[in-house]
Amino acid sequence: MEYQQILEEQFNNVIDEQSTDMLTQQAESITSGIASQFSMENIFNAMIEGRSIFDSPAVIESLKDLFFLEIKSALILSVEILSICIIIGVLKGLSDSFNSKSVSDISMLVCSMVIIGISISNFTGTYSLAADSVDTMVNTMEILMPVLIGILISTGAVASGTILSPMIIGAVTGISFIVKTFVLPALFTATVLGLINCLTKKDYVNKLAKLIRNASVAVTGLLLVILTGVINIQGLLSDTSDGLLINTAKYSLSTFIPIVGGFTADTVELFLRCMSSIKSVVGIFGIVLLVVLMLVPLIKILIIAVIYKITAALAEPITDSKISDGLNDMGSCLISIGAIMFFTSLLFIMFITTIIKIGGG
Amino acid sequence: MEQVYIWIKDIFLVIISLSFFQILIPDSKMEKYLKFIFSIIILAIISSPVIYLLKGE
Repeated sequence: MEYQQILEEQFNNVIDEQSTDMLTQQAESITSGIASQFSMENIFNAMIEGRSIFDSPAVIESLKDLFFLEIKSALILSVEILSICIIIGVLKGLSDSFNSKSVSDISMLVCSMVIIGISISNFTGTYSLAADSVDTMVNTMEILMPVLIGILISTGAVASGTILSPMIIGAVTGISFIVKTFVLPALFTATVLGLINCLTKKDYVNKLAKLIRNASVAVTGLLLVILTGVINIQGLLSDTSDGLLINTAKYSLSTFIPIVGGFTADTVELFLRCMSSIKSVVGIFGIVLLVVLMLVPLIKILIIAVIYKITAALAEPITDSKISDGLNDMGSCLISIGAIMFFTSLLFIMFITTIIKIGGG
Repeated sequence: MEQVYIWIKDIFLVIISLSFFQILIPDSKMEKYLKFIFSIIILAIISSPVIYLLKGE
């Protein structure tokens, strides 16, 4: 067919294959092999041939593998913590019979510190996973945004392109700065404080930890609401003015140029159509990459969080309530980290959808 | 960022030393006062970032 060739030529002119391949490779290490199934070429071919991009059973297979692998490694952690909890229970029973309070207290303190050590060392890994994932999402946006804005301007949406380009790039940079410098370290702080809290009998820093955690989630939510609102409304407005511009141009081409005017208008129309299909291919590549980048770490983090919650429930009858409370808090902190990753990727996906939507993709 | 790490480390050290002192000092009338003093210290450490920020402005 003719239009496929035109599309392919335009696609090869517009897209720099090397940078998108680099992006996929970068995502590969975080997403454990799922990202490569959604390369730009695959999505482009699926678009041309009109078939689904999600039909490969390999995706489901690798997601399932990932799921069970994570559950297995999280279970090991849970068993470690539970065995220390059982030791604490035994020590408690012994100390009651020996009637020497201070020795058993010290041994229990040491045991809780071991639990804290295990949890923190595991948490550091999860934290760096989340930070890496946010980093890669920001990279994806920084590589794809100029391409998308360029395509957007060549579909004729000049006003939208010029207005949205600084807004979106500024928003992406700002978000990445705020999340990486304030929100994620604040969550780390909240987790450490929540764990320290289970060393003492009285609550000293419990409320502080909860305050920091809730504040960081609230800040991210607020950013999400404000930025999506502003950019979506701006997109809607400039879309209308661009539509006016394009229609005027097409009308005047076909009407005021005597003989070839009709052909020229049709050619312009075809060109714009092709560009907007390429725009949706690039946009969908970005969205799928962002979703995969969010999904895989989110699955890992949520599994670990659920395992922490289950361990807290199991440890409650044998140990004192402080330790199980600490484990429970740990689970909540992990869920908050997952939520922040989710918010970030949702925000980026909304930026891309705003661009795809303009000009009736 | 350094300030935050120092802050967390301070809280951690004070709470750990508090729990050790509570165990090591045998039960007496002093325990109440000890606890109170430690609570005051923790309060001071927790509120120290606010003071830092106010001084910085």
